[in-house]
Amino acid sequence: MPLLSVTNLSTSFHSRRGTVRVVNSVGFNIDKGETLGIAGESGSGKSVLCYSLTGLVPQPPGTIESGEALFDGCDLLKCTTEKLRSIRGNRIGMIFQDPMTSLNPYLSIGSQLVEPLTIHRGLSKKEASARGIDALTEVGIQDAPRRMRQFPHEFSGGMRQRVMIAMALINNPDLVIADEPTTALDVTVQAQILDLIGALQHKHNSAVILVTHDLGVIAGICKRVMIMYAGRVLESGSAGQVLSRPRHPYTFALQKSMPAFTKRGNELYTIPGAPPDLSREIIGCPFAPRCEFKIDKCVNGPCQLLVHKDGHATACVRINDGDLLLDTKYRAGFTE
Amino acid sequence: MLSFIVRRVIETIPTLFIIATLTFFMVRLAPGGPFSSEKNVSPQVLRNLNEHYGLDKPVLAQYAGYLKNIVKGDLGPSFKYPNRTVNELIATSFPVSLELGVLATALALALGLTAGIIASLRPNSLADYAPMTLAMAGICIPTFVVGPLLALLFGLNLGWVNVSGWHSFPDRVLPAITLGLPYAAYIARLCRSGMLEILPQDFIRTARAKGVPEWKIILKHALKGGILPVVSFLGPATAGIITGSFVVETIFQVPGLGRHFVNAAFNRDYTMVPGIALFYGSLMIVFNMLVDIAYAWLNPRIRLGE
Ligand SMILES: Nc1ncnc2c1ncn2[C@@H]1O[C@H](COP(=O)(O)OP(=O)(O)O)[C@@H](O)[C@H]1O
Ligand SMILES: [Mg+2]
Repeated sequence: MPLLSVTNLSTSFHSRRGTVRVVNSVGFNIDKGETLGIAGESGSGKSVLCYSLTGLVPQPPGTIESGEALFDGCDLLKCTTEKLRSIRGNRIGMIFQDPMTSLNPYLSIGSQLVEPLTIHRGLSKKEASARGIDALTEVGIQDAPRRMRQFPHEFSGGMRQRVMIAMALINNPDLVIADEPTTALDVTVQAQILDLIGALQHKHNSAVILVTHDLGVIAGICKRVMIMYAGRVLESGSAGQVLSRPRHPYTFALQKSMPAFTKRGNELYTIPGAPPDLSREIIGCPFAPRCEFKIDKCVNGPCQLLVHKDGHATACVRINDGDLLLDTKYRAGFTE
Repeated sequence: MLSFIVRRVIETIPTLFIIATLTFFMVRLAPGGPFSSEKNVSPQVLRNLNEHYGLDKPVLAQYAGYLKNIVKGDLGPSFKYPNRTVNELIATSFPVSLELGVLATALALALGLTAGIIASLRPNSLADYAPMTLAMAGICIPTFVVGPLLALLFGLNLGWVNVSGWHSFPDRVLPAITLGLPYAAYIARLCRSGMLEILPQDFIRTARAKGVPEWKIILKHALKGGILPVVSFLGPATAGIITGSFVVETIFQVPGLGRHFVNAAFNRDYTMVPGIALFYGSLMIVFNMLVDIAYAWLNPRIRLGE
């Protein structure tokens, strides 16, 4: 049984101008200790997906329209707020994008760091503080007892993200949701932070959902990958399948636009156009207007995620029907 | 911290000097003198009085003498209350004003913070509009209207409390409410806007993600930052509560320092006026210093004295 099993999750935001469906029938499984990468351009609904799972979507204006998220036998989308609260910070830890704003500037590092211990484990202040010092040391922060008494503004961005990681992992959660943990950091720090998450994951045997808009971050870390666009899953499968043998033209285009996947000297590709307006109903493939391989049925026909025999799933109609594989231009790009 | 306090105290000396100088000359410039309201004073008696209090000396000499006494902490003899010094009068009546002020401030904080927090949790709902409308009314209606109205309703019509005097605890209720109400209203509005600024921030989401209970998110994670506008308002508020207490003490016949100040001005009490002004001036300076210390304690990004 998977640790977390999400099916048909949809989340919308309501405003005077109408309803925007930001997450649309998303489903995935993640096993104990596994790493799942979720990638997609910004605005594709990755963060809202994470918040939906942990009850952090502001309601109103948001609503969870449908879906099920079974975590150890408990549906995260329907259980009581009290039950969900007892899971958050305890069995599910979260790391956010911007370490500059995600820590409370008015509270000392120590008092924020050990809060999950005092809330969920009922530890005394003294015990919690000792564990907090260990946790800071574990994420590579030196002079931890002194650092505990300091405030966030006395830490650099990378150091703050280390604190966030220590805080998310302090209760040895079964699942860590890391929403773009390195996006706001310097390139030199990014790799360190990713290594740290990987090392701690290994040590505590936690599953990790690693969200990013940068496919390069996912490669080499994640066992399975899911590509999101306009709130939907366009492609998913093992890392080898999705990153080395991508099928969906969107994944393709995404790779071509990233330095990590292009040959040195080749110019970076820019995907033409912009993501669709989600307040309007999209009939066909949401990527069709920007896709260089679109034909009539992409725009007008139904578009569904299809799991192929090898477990590699894509939502491209032309792939699922098999006709795109015959396209010489597509094949050329594919073998390049 | 200590160096901040020492520097602050040194910085206040010129302020206090200016207060002493201005009030000293202003009360002397006002027409009449301390003994002009006493009828049937023979010129001989008047001359003796003036001599006794040193009013026969040149003004500048009086001023020099006054400053010399102040430095020693002696505010001089009262002109109006024979045989009593200004220090004594302050010592007996200030505790009453202090009690009134503390009660009013406590009430204002309790009421204002509660209303402000509740309003901020459901912005633009009834739970927001109702207390905020009341707060607006509280700010707009002046004390000299609220005081007599309350006295009329609870004192005369319902007979629950006395309308004047300062003997038992119920006597404190109406003056404290009258004095504290407008500040409760300001505090409610400031607290609401402060909280509304903090609640949507990322670090509140982090607290939720940690499983912090909602009440603790509000009282621990949000209030410390959300209360900052209220704390900076407490400086001017203490000044307002002190001057407001002049009016309230007169309305409810409270034997506090405010009433003495009003009377001293009417009576041209040449030592009482600068004395009380100096005392209140120092008090406000101390309060503002406490407010600054509290602010720096709440907001770790602020360093004292920078
Ligand atoms: N609180 C909110 N109210 C309204 N719309 C929102 C809110 N949060 C996110 N959205 C919308 O949801 C969409 C997806 O956002 P997000 O999940 O943050 O994207 P990503 O994390 O993939 O960059 C965006 O179009 C954004 O405007
Ligand atoms: Mg995001």
